[in-house]
Amino acid sequence: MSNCRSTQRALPPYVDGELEASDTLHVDGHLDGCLSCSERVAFSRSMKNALRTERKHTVAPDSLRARIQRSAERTRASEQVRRPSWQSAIPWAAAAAIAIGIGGGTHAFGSHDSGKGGGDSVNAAAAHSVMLDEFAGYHARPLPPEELDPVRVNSIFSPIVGVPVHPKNFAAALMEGQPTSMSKFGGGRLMRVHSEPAATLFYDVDGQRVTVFVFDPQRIRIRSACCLSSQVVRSTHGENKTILVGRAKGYPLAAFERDGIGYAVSADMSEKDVIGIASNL
Amino acid sequence: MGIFAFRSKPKQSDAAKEFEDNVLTHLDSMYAVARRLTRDPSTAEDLVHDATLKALKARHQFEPGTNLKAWLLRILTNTFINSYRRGGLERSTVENAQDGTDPVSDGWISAASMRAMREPEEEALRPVLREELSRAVDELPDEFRVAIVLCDVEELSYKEIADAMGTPIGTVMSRIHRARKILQDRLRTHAIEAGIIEPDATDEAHENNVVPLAARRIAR
Repeated sequence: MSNCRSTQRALPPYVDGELEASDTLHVDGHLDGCLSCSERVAFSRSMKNALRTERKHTVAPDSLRARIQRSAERTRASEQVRRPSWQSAIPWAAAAAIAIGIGGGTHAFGSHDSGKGGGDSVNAAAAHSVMLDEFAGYHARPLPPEELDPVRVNSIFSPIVGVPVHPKNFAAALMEGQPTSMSKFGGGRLMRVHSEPAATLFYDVDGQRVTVFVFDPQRIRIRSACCLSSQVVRSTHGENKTILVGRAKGYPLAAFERDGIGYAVSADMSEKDVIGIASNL
Repeated sequence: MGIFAFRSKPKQSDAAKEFEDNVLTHLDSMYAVARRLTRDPSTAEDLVHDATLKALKARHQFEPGTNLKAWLLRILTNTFINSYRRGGLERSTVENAQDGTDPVSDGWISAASMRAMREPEEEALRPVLREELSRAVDELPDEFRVAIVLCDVEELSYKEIADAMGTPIGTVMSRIHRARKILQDRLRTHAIEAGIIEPDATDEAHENNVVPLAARRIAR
């Protein structure tokens, strides 16, 4: 003979239709003779009904639907453009690597790139200062990360951005030269800079926020952005590097290019520290 | 390079568009759950937007023939838990509460009281209590709220809820069970305040234990 106590445990799955047939019969048998438990079931069901009724009256706003469709459209459009350019990125990267080899290890940052659309107009320059604002804006007002797992960030973001994205490598690089530092990867998000995709990676270095952007420099042409000055710095490994430095929305931004991949860093730090981070990435 | 540009693209974008249309048929469900999870309309919109785009990008991971709504709500729940929740404090409180003694009062509510809180002869709450229920759900700790919303509002199976929350089914069951208890307690208190029921003697006597109930049944 079942009692209320043993039945009580079965009541939630009974109410939710999750009990095996034989257990359901068993509970049915108990409920027949127990007013208290059958009231309990009826009461749980009435709560369930109330929540479901409220749900039926909740309709997603049309503006949300439109916003999603717009974003999806953008993603699709960039996927279409991306697919061929991504497949062709390998020869480009190889070409970039050769150029660097000839240059003797120094990155030919200041030189004009030989890629498509080399002649930047005044309009383009104006657009590129907006680009600087966009980068800094994503650091100033970060949106929640889409992915927390660095492995997934790599596998999901790389094909979209068109260049490999390795969040783990940066976490180590951020501590370079500062043996006491603690750095933690706080997830990544895909953002559009000048309507091109950039992986935005969030880090916490000793309690200060550091945002690293990884992008395809053929698509986000930061080298042609105005308001950036170029500096040659030396990493802790003794490697010389040309870094573009600027400031927007009150945050310093340092950008550079390596092996056909564009990087930009912004942080809650001084310009000098941000340049230091960029030189070691 | 140009030749790559023509490779099977139209087909792919058709499939993407079709998938997007299917996903959007569940937008109301996603929004309703997001409203419940975030407790704020504009944050709910951001959450649905982010989760939907994530789903569209991951469309190759969806297994055709399986429950699309459950898959979408799993992504939504994940996005909420990972990105939209402020701090981990609530979680630790709840997780601690789960082992050992139950800090939530295990108030026993008499059959008469429970009946008085419903509409006569119907499995529906009295209107006054429906509003209170809505508020009470908003105030549940995150983990309980996610479980009860997926279960009661969208009627996912325990298995689907377990997948969405990344917890074993047993944990889901106990969260749903405890969430309902908290909600019942709130409704009972509110019903007493509203004068719908009396805090009768039987309620008090059985406040902390269900065993006397069984004993009483045998005595009867």
